[in-house]
Amino acid sequence: MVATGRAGTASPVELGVGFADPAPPKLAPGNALLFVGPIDSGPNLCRDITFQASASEPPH
Amino acid sequence: MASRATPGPSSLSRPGAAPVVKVASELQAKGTIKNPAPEAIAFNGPDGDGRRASRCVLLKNEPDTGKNGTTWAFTYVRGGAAEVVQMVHPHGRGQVVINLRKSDVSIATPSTWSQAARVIPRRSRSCARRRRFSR
Repeated sequence: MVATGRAGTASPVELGVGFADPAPPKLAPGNALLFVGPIDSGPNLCRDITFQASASEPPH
Repeated sequence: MASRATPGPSSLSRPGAAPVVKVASELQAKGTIKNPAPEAIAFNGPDGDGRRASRCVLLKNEPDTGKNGTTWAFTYVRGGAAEVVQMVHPHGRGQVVINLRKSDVSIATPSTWSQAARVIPRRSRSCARRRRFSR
């Protein structure tokens, strides 16, 4: 799958209600987060998770 | 920013590239984080639409992280009524959120998480991101 998108000016995301300790109330510049959404049945999971502070453009 | 559901071996070994942080071996809704990196901060997230037990992992990077883009990479497994995985990338002085759902992908720059959860998928134009799913 190839998805395209455009990101404009961003501001720190306020997490708010539902996030448990030790979640910060608001993300700071530089923060990165991975969120695996809630379920009622079936799996929802990520394996072999990595993060890198660089990105390469995939071929168009 | 880039979000890749299957780690690309070339990016892991490219000379001069930023180091790859092995964040965790697994993060699962209704489960626990497995083999987290020392800098990984795990916590529970909000419930929604009758679903529960979301899970999150946070990395507190330097404020200028993201100026050269960032990459989340993982193998994704979903099934049943599982709704979403969301990748939050540092972008400028804030974050950009990639919403990966069963049948669509969307991008947003919300100021609150509740806005990120309500993103309506739409098509836009400037850059491409490649993802592969494991079901």
